Amino acid sequence: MDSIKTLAELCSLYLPCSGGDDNVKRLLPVIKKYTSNITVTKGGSIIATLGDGNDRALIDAHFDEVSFVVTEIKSSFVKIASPFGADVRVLPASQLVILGKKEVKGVCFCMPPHLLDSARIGKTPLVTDIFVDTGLSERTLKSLVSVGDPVCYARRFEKLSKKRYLANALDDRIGCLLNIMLLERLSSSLPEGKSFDFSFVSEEEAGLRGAKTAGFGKGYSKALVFDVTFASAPKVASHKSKPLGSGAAIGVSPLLSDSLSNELKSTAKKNGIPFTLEVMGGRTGTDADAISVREGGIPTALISVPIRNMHSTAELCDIDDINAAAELAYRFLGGEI
Amino acid sequence: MKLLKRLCTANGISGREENIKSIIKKEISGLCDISEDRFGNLIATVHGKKRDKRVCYFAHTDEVGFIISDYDEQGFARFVNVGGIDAAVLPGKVLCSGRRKGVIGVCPVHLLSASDKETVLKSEDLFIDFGFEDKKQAEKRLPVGSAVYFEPTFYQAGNEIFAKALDDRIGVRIMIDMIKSKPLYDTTFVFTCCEETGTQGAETAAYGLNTDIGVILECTTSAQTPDENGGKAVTLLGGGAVISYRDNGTMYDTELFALATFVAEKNGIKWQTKTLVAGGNDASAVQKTAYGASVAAFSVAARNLHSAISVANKNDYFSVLKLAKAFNDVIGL
Repeated sequence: MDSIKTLAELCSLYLPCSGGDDNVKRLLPVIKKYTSNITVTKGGSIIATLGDGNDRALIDAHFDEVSFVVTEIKSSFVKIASPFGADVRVLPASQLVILGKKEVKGVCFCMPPHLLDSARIGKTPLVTDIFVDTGLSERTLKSLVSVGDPVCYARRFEKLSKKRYLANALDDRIGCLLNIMLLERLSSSLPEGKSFDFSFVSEEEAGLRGAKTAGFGKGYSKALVFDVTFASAPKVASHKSKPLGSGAAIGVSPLLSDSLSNELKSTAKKNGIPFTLEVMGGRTGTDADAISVREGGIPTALISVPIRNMHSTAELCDIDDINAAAELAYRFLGGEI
Repeated sequence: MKLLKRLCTANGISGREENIKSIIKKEISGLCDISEDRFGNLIATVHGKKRDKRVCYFAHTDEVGFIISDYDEQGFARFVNVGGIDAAVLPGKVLCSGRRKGVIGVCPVHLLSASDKETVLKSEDLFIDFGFEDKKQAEKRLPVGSAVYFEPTFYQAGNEIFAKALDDRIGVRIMIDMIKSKPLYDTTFVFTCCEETGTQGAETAAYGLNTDIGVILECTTSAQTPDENGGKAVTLLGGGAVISYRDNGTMYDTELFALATFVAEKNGIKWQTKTLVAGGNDASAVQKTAYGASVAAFSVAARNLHSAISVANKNDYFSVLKLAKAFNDVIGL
């Protein structure tokens, strides 16, 4: 598998944080390239199963991305709300895509510098003041778009340098890519007596909703969650971020299993895989928070990949970090034979 | 529209407008005398019937953008703005320099305090992330002093055009059209540089031209939204050619203003004026340079001026084009 090509394919999909089965329809064809053993849960998540051993592990990543929702249609414009943590600061003059009956492009209104009054300079606009300009007549627009339709950042996938890529929704298509990389690699060397459920879950950005139910009741002996974390950059506190290219970030938290975190650490050391420790005092802000307390408690580990500009129009990652996370997870899961 | 797309997606900040000028030269060569002055303005003279007064049309070739001013140790670029850009439109925008792309980085919202979330950082506190690994690599691949642009965009939806640099490639496009359609009388067309940095191009061009009547073709600001269709919108998309009587830089010639509105009415061309005194353009330089000139300005209204994607109405473009041509046939006789 060409991992960059797969990442580009995953990032090209509009998978907003929304209910309904449109997301599943968009994502399913990509996963079907790698396995046919797939179930879709009631909560709109997808689980790809590998093997039938009794010792089951859950490997989780969320497919949804931060998104907006249409609240009003007025002449050629729509107004939006941002209930899922998308970055409102990046909106002025940004391009969005409304997922109506068809995909409708729009550009967010911004006040030109010529007309800024001093009271507004230096202040982030409220999302309720943002108009998305579609250029279409109100009649056409209303035939294509309804209140409640999801709105995403317009897509992009750019290679910046040998290892670095700029894209939307790397949070958490990187996790989805890791799921697929592992699925492919473990299928040719499946440890005896084990089985793996790779979950691609919905609605993480709305409060870990998909991970609460995906694969519920299957009696997993442990879980591994893939997500992204903050990469270092100017204005980002160095103690709250990991440098790009520093490898896989292993989560350490009271809510995660210490023994699994230690196992990840020793596996990385043993195999010379670059890693950092991401220490959190409680909640991790990932699916791990939901999975670790399910079904009376599932021992859970967390591997994150640092990205810059999280939740904005253009996130940035280093491919070395993704490869380190994939290698570490592979050794960690296969190392139990 | 194809030519407008080529003009808008080409890059040229103030002083680095060669790409734009070469597109223009290719389009108009053989149709007029072309010269370039010492400052970098491109001057095209079309010969027709003689008229009493010297009539010059002006549109500027430059756009707002950035220049890399420094790299930090990690290879993040600091930059200066070229032209007036509100820092609020910068976070998260993808920029390009040559074939390289970069992004104006943002601290993730998760890590911001409530007051930081509401605050727009100043340009000088922002940085461009080209994905470089350190300062050395950055300086080798994209030296300090390189020009940086908003990512080229151009598409149409309904009657609207969404594009980078409509200000003022739309004026440039109209002048090319005028040259191609062979004006009746002698006319000089000046493609000015450095408007966004303070109309320096127009100032140096006007010096040697001895202009009697100067007509500026521009893209002007609109703040129109469904909630603001009145005074504070300044101009309306779809409202027709904007004929100026006053802005922050210029008191336009009242006779030319009256004549322009008369020509518009007579030819059934939709027109509007600005409902606020705002903005400014090359007219301020043309009016006051050397022996001075009478000036008029016809503009296409656009939202999101000086940002990554500005928005104009196709019909307004045609209104300005028609008005500019019709006006040229009746002035300076």
